[in-house]
Amino acid sequence: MRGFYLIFFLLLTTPIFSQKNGYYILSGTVRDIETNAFLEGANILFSGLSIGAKTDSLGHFSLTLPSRTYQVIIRSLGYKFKIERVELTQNVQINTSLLRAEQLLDEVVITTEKADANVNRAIMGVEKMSFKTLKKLPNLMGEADVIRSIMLLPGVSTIGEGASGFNVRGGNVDQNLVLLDGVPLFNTSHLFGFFTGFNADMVQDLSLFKGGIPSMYGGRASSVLDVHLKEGNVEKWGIEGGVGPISSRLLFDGPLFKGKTSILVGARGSLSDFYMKYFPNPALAKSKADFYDVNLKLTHRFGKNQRISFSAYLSNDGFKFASDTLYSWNTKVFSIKHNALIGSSISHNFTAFMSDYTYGIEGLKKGVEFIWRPSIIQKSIKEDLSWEINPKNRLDFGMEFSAFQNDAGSFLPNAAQSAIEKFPMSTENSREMSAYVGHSARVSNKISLDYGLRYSMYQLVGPQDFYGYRNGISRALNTIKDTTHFGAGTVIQTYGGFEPRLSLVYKVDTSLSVKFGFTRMQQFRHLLSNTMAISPVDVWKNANPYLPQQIADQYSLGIFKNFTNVQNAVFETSLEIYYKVFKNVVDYIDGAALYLNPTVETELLVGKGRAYGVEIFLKKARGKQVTGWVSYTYARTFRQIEANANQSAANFGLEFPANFDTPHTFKLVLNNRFTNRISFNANFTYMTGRPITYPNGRYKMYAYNELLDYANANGIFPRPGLTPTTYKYGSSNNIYLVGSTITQALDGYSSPSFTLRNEERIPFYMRMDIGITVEPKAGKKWQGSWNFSVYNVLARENAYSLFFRSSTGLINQARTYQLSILGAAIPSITYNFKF
Amino acid sequence: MKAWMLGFCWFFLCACETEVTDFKTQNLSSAIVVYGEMSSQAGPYTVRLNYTSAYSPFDVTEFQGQVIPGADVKILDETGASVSLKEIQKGMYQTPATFKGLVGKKYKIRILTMNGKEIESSLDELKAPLPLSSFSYSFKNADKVENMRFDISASVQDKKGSEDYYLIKRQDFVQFLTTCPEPPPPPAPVPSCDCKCWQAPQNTQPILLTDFLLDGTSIPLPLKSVDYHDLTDVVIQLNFYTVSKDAYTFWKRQEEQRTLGGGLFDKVPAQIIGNLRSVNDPGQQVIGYFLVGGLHRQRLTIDRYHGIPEEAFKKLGFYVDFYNIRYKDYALWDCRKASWIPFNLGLSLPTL
Repeated sequence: MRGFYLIFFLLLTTPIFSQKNGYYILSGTVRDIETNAFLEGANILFSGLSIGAKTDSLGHFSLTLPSRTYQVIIRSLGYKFKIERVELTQNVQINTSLLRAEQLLDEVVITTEKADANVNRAIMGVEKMSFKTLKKLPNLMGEADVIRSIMLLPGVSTIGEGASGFNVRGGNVDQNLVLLDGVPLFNTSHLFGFFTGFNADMVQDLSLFKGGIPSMYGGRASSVLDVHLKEGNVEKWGIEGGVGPISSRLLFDGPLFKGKTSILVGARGSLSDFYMKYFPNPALAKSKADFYDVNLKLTHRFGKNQRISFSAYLSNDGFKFASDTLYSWNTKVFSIKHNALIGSSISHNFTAFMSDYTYGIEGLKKGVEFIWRPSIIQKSIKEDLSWEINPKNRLDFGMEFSAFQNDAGSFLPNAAQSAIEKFPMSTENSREMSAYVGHSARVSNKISLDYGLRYSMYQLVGPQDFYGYRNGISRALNTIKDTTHFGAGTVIQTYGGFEPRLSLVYKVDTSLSVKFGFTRMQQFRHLLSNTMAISPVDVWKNANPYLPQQIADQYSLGIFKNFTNVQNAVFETSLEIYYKVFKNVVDYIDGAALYLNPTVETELLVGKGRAYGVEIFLKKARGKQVTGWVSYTYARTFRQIEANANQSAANFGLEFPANFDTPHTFKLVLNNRFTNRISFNANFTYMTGRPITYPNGRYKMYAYNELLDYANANGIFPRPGLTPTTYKYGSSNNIYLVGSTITQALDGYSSPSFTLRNEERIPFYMRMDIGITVEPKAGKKWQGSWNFSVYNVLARENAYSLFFRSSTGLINQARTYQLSILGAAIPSITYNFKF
Repeated sequence: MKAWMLGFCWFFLCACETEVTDFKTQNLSSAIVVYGEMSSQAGPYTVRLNYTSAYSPFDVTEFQGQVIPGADVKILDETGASVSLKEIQKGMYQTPATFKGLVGKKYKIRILTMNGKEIESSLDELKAPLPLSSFSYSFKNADKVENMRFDISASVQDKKGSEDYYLIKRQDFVQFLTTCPEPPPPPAPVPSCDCKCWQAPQNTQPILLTDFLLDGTSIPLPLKSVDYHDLTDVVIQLNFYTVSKDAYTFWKRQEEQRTLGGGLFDKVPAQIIGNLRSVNDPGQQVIGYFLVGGLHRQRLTIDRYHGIPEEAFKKLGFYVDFYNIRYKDYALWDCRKASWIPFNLGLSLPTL
């Protein structure tokens, strides 16, 4: 920890930030022209300079520039850019407003900065998407969806339809930090992963960091998905919504006190319970598949440079498919933020939040009613500061403190007459402290640097009873040697370490650059799952003496080149290579029991992993009619769990492909605007099938031979008998009996025999979706739009899994089956409105 | 609205499971499969040894793995006392009929194959058998004979304060009737008509129970009902084993493998290893189980003739005739000769 403060101090006191004479401060704010809301993340670019500024959460920017006249370009994702002329002969403030991009002739698919920003910026492996792009992509059942949309980007994959979460560059699902307005979420799915857990209507923009991850982010090992939500209109009230086959949405916003205080409320809910009772199928009629989410954002401004906001997010799912088991999961998040501009160059962002993710299962069977509801509660405070020192240097620094309560969920009877007895599970308490500093510097016209350091410290604290195991032997129930009780607040285990981050760009010319990056991330909480796919009711587990923190080091190298054609259409191309090393990845003994297991560490294995890949990307970021992108990714990811003094090996200690290892991925996204109102969208995905463990044989266990042995021993078998047979005489069939022998063959329980893990693959995945969006006529007060889409238009039955069932009987041997989810073309129609 | 409903229905029904019949895999496995049981009831106990077979579900030559003959098989207790098993047919080994497991003692199996592989199971305690606390049936009437049934209920009173695991084998014995031919005209003597025999439908699926969360309570057994397709008796035999946690877990994993559906909650497939290992060759995989358990056997006779409502009885008459339940088209004097009936045991049941 002392080392961190030393580096922090050195960075703060480095003399390169001193200012020179002849420089003036150019500052200002950027707002939405309609709602008057401040726009965060808008880019301010200057003619003749390759540097720029970005607005903070108050919509404010500030930087010091040499005295001269500038053409200033103000650009924000989803808005029409604006050019202003500024004579910088003194400190100047410009306050400007941008018009939403719906009225543009140029379609913007993915772009946040000016056309060559992907070449200029030091950080690579970053993808950004606006709310408008989200809405335009063809989608499942008409639902614009954040996570389904980012899966169209290179380096992002999933194991199949209906699987929760996503995998980024060889990382597990739980290694993604998903931030909703700065608050991390522990689950991001509705309906087991068919839909994202938050409403796409609420999204202002999102950034996915796959490679270069700024030092302000931490806590998960692989990637960051930073989602910014909209803010309420401070000038006028508005309502928008949509009606779709799966859910309906409503969002309204407006001023509580004009110009000062705004409120934004968004709600979305499924209507499935309403439909299902009308189905004649009794299984469907007894089923339940409902979800809802609600967002509230209340913002008040104090003058021009200060703002406070309160946000709440509630999400809930309940799922039951004709059984006595109800799965449910819900998230509750409450946060308060204070943003202010200190002086003209430092922006301060303070956030305090509480999030509660509760999940579990409810047994409804009469007489054995039960409830199991684990939860994880996080309470955090954090301070982020950003100091625009001069046009060439920006310093970001901050600290965060979090406390976690991870309740493994006691199993409780849920009715007076229930025969179930209570099974208590413990609650783990932990805390995490982190501090970071990051420096963005333009070293020369050719070289820019973005580097930083983060230090994270984690402590598992009492009260808790902790099992000790005998050393030198695999942990098991019979190797428990003692139990230690730790009192409240007593530190059980501490983990921590520095997380250096470095991104470097060398610009060969204005359209070509080469970049290098290194990122280290640490993760102190692990999602335990040994099923086919991650589910929302999988258990989170804190790092402890048997389960160290996961560490991922990523090295990446990229070449970025832009082309412009005669119509000024911009083509962005890139080739990125990465190599990632994982330490302390979690794996499981075969058939591990992870639920309600007080000694779950006996089922867990710790190992290592590696991932590497190449991502080739071609994007037409803007054009009059056609925009889109095409990408090809070659990526591999492996895990290796070796035996040591306290654990056995998995897969005989040999390296094996991770469950989501898909070497070849091809993605195409196309947006063709026929007219100002009508656009056609399509996307296509091809992926190598994911790995699977195939049987290499089959075996029978003769566990039910008692009767046959009796019959054989007592002369019952074999014996003479008669068998019916038929003969045809004229037009009639006659049955008669002929002599035969009565005997029975030995039968058993037939099971597949498996050996090496993930040696084979399921068939490849291929899907194409198409959609047409009809926008409303301009100028009308009621803005109604239609979205028609067909998901999986090829109606391909993509394999979700191949599985091998044990069986019984001479005929019913162990057999192979393929499961396809959404194995048909799924059309949908959605109506969206706004007034 | 209709379009939405259709869409939603589609969404749920699009998931489909299809059998892969052209699945190819090489049999690279040379694992040895051992399965045997011993209990607190009199033997003889049987142990079968064989190898894994190729994964070809439609190849009749691959239904059973190659047997392992000529092995030296012994059951040992914790003191080292042993009893040898005799090979009564290739790959099938049996204890002497006089040998019986004793409750509270620990037993294991030791096998030495002809090619020198030494296999041993873990030393498992033979737990005390537990009798059923209830075992009964009740008739459930319905409009259609197809839906009439006898619900079976059974329960066991679990012992408080211990972790208990149970494995139950259910064997049904169903009496069936055949139709005797028309007797010859007098003065020819009328042959004797044996038309009521016992059939034992094969059932090789265990029922697994644990007292986890139900310690010390009366635990009901999940038992499938018996249909009402004829008037004859049905006997249900339950072999109720009290077993170790490892034995329970082994069979639980087998049952998970049998009932999986390829979906979200299925565990990643992996070899199910039991309580056996090769002592002198760690590279030799041994699968299967040597189960040591306290055994209680109990039967319940279901009388499908008495106590049935008159109306249901009449409906059954029509049903029996319509579906040819008594094989009137191929009449015979002696039901023991009905070779089309699987597991036709003849006129009497095995003794309990």
